[in-house]
Amino acid sequence: MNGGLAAGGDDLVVRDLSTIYATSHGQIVAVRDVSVTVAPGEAVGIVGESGCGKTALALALVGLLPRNGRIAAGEVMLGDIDLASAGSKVLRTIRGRRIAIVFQDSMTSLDPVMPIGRQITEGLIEHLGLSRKQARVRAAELLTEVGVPEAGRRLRQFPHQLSGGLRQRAAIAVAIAVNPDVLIADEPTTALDVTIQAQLLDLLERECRQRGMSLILITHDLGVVASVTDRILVMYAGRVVESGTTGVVFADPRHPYTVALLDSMPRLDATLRDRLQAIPGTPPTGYAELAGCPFAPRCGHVMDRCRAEMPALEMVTGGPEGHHAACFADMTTAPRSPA
Amino acid sequence: MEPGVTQSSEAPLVRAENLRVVFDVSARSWGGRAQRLHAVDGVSFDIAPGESLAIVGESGSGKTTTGRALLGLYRPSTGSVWFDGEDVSSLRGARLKRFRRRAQMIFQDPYASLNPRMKVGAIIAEPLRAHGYGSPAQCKLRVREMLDMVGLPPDSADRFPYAFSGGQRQRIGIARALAVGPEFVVADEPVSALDVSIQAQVLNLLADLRDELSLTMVFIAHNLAVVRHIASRVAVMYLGQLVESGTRDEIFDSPAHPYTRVLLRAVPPPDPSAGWKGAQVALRGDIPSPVNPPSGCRFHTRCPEAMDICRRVVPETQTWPSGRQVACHLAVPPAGGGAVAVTAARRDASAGGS
Repeated sequence: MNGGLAAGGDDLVVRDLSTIYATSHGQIVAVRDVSVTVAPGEAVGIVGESGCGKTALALALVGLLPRNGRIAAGEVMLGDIDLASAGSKVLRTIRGRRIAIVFQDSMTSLDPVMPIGRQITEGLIEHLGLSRKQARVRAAELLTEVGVPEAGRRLRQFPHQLSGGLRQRAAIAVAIAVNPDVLIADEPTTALDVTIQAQLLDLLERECRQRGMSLILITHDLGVVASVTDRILVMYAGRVVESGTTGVVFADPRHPYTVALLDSMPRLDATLRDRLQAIPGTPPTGYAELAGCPFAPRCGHVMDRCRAEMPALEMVTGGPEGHHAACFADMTTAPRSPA
Repeated sequence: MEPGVTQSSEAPLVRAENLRVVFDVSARSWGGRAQRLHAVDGVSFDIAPGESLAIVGESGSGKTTTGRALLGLYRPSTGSVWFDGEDVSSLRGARLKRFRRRAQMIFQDPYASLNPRMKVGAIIAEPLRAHGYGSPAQCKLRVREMLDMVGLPPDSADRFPYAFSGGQRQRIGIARALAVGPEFVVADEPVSALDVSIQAQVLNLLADLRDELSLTMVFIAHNLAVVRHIASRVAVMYLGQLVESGTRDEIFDSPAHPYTRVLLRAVPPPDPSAGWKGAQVALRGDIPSPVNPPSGCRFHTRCPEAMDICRRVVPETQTWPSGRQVACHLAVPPAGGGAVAVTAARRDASAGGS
């Protein structure tokens, strides 16, 4: 049972997806009209600050919205199955088998009272029909593959007995064990040291390439997506405000929010500036219905029109195909802060 | 033995002298044998008044324990911490209280470090009351002043922590630390729990306040990109020991220790054309256990440049003419420099144990 089964599978097609959370303060539209297609083997980054709807989108894709959340509109097609309208029985056969998810906190992905080994073999037995013994062997192979030393001993250990880095590796092993078509990684390295982050990014990239698995990588750190993903979506207030190939969006960002995210990064590869360019304020909470562009209150390029009218996500004029931005301002002529 | 040299001729405000912090981690109740964890194992450095020293390293490098020992929150097992000419572990009574007012801490997790059942005003006023700042009215005034200083609206005082975002909570933590007017602040990973965009706000705020209030700072971090914007000097720790220290420019422009180079390479640049790959970081596995550190150079098990000697011989700490210190067999001081002092600051790890 070695690899490669799922390769050449179906596109994951998300169309006009919106999710709504009911809270005691009223409804929150966490994800609004998001569309994205992820081809087999492709790596897509979803970027934005906390509260921008990245995680809500991920949870909607795997049908794991909390009890107060629901998909209000749109579809999530994997092949001919619409995950957005599928019942929990269908979802259970898809989740883990065809779409897997790894969370920021590996304690959330893993069952704290089950040995690591059983968490891996469970899927192998259930989804791939391996015998207990075969699954055991395969689990040890998988742990070794994701860089967990002494796999035999680790199989018998519980999640809390592993360091944060090893635990996240184990969570990745559980997720990729049955060769899903799509792996969603929600801030998989945010809680870890930069050294361990580098190892895990390498691991994710390598595994996805080898298995022809699609990767959806969610992060607030533009450095993390830059080297790993083929395309990125920048989200703000539940919407996609810019999307395109990773190279183009970084080289020629057209939404002021993307520009601001880039400028706010402390970096080692540029001359040292006296001050970092912080983005003032915080993202909107989602309770209030905004008339205009949700980024307008924090935007350095805001115009009157932005406060009254919502800019649509449109093809960037003069840009390459597939580069979209939702902004009235012409960022090609707008002054950028010094790099 | 000569503690780490600073460029300044001024007397240091803070000095760590061969600092060791050892924890007993025996599992006695399970019949385990006595085990000692050398969290900090022979660390020496000076911090001049007004200086910002960054201590960097991975989880388990001992950076947080060092920071806490500087504030007297952990007692050195051997060695000492000096603050303004006084041995911190000898302080008692009024002098200890005075030290606690002069030296404060900013914590990593803005969610765990604020009492959820206290209003923000009371949180910031607590150290004021503890140190007998003045009448309740005076305290209230000071709380307002602090809120203004960290860029929060005055009505924040009457709200609870849950009403604030991570970045705002960290501002509250900063206000609490600075309320009693400290000279020395240890900030332990103050931005690592925050979004990148919010990190910039908090880093700028810390830098401004440091300059405005002439603070001496220790800034603990695992991400060197963050440190570059705030530190004047950098000390790199690995498994309880200093492997390299120097000025910001020395460390960032010409890192001398392979571990420093690994830490620098590990930060992914926000630039797809840079061709960064996690694999190039060339660091294997996790940091080893400090209960049983590797022989020779402690970094040799993960070092991309390790040689045979590294497995056997503990590298001595070289002090270069600029005052820079490096503990690596491979490190070569810049050409044309004068004599290189070698201090035997590192003893065999087992010396402190047993």
